[in-house]
Amino acid sequence: MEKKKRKFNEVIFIICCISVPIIQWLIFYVYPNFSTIFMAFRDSQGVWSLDNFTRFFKELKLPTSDIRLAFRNTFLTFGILFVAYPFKVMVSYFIYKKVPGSGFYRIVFFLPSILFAVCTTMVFSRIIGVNGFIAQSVGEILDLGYTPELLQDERFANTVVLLEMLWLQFPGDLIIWGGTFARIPEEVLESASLDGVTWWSEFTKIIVPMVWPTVALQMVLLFCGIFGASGNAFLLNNGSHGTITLSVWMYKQVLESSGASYTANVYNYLSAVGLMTTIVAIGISIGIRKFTDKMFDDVEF
Amino acid sequence: MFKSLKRKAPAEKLLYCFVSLVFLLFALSYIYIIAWTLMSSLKTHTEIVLDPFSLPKVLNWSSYSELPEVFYVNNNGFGQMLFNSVWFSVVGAFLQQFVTIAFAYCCSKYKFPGSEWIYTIVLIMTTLPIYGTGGATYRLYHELGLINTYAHVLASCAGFNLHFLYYRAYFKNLSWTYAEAAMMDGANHFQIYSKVMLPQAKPLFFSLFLTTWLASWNNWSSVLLYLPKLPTLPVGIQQFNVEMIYKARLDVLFAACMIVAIPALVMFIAFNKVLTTSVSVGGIKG
Repeated sequence: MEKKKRKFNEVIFIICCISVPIIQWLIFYVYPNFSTIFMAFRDSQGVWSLDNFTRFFKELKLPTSDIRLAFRNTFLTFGILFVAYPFKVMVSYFIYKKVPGSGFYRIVFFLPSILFAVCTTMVFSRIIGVNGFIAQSVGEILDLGYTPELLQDERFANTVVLLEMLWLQFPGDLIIWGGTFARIPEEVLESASLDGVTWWSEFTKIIVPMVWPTVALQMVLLFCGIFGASGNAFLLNNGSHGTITLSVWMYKQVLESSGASYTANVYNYLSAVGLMTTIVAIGISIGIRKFTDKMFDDVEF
Repeated sequence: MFKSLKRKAPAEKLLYCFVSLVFLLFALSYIYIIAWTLMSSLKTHTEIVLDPFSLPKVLNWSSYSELPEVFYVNNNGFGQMLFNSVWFSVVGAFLQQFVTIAFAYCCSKYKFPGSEWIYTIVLIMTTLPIYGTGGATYRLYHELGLINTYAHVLASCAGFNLHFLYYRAYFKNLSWTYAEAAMMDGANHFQIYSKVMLPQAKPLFFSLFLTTWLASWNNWSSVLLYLPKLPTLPVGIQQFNVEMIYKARLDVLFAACMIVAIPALVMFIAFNKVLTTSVSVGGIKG
């Protein structure tokens, strides 16, 4: 009887713990995802069709289309983020190794993630505005004869967006890497130090192999988020003047048509683009997973 | 400050100093954002437009005192936007963490049909973002009446997220003997969870709550989409900036930026240690 009561109590406890997240997941994750698949195969009248996909491939071929530009900028942004990634890990490493002023940097380097992106981009866009020395220097160096509006000029806008992203993301993920490095047993590093190991050998031969599971996981996450790679293009210049990325394009599709009567056209096409992108992302995800499994030992959480 | 250099070889000392110098440049540039915002908030609108980099000629405190009267977006004043921000960030972050930790605890310590599947699903979800669902999600919120309503916060009760993995890993490593001892003393499953296991995960809970709160406090994208009539402060500031051509009050805009940056800065400085040492992913080998 006591055992039955305990089992019943256990079942009630489990139901209490899992029911809310599962219901939430079914409503807010599963339903919209299935809905997206159905929407991708419907035209604006609700009739089953492949029109959205035909339009997608057609626009992808057009050299001046927004979607083509969005893909190009997304890949460019991802490439830069990928190259910058090891440097961002090094930032956490040197803070962990207590370079002079590390206590100060540990706090200040969080500022970009603490402050509103809205505020930082607003300040940034004013600093690089026509009254600032950066825009004036660009004008002088390139001998333009005038001060360019860097964010409103297609020659410079995307570079500025990418530089702003690199500037703000320089500290990398201090929380993840700070926490990971903090768990490395101190005695391992102390004995290496007694053996006269240089910092480079310590980093490449002791630290990196020890944190490989984290490296592998981060690599998987980085590659899987390839189509989400974006700077603050929307806040800086509304994704105009050649700065649009795929995520900004998708965001603008919903924002600019929300509440309008023509949403079916926009949403169905958006769903088709999303579906195609997701299929490619699945391929990349599987590929990178296989690669990391081969390169590294198993990925744990 | 230079204690860490004492036992280093000369070449390493040089490297550490160089790295520190590069870090200093970036750190100063981040501090400059705050300094520039503060400086601008104490200038007049005309001063900001004509000479954005000069120091204020006279300290203009009226930008702060006039903020409640001037800072209006979509009929929402500063106070209302502050309330919206607190509601969606604090309640939202708490609901999410509250649901996720219980969910992860249950999945890591109890066997029930599908418990292992849940882990796999979360793993797939976190490593494989699905694109283009914005339209379907907007329609869903619209159909559920969650656009422009405080009930929108209910969508935060999510357990299938990255934090599930952190909590699950934590509880997997937490010995079950605590629970067994409590069971011997007659505790039921709810008491074991709330009085024995949950208190041990407090630092992790607090750290993840703080990161979620910070992200929600700064979030503008989903608020702009789903809650345009209940703007939070970031959206209010963004909209106010867009309408600047008519309002001509850049001083008030930057005063608002300063005021809303304070809670996040204070929380971060106060709990910096907890934030940076409680979370880790991927494990350590050896």
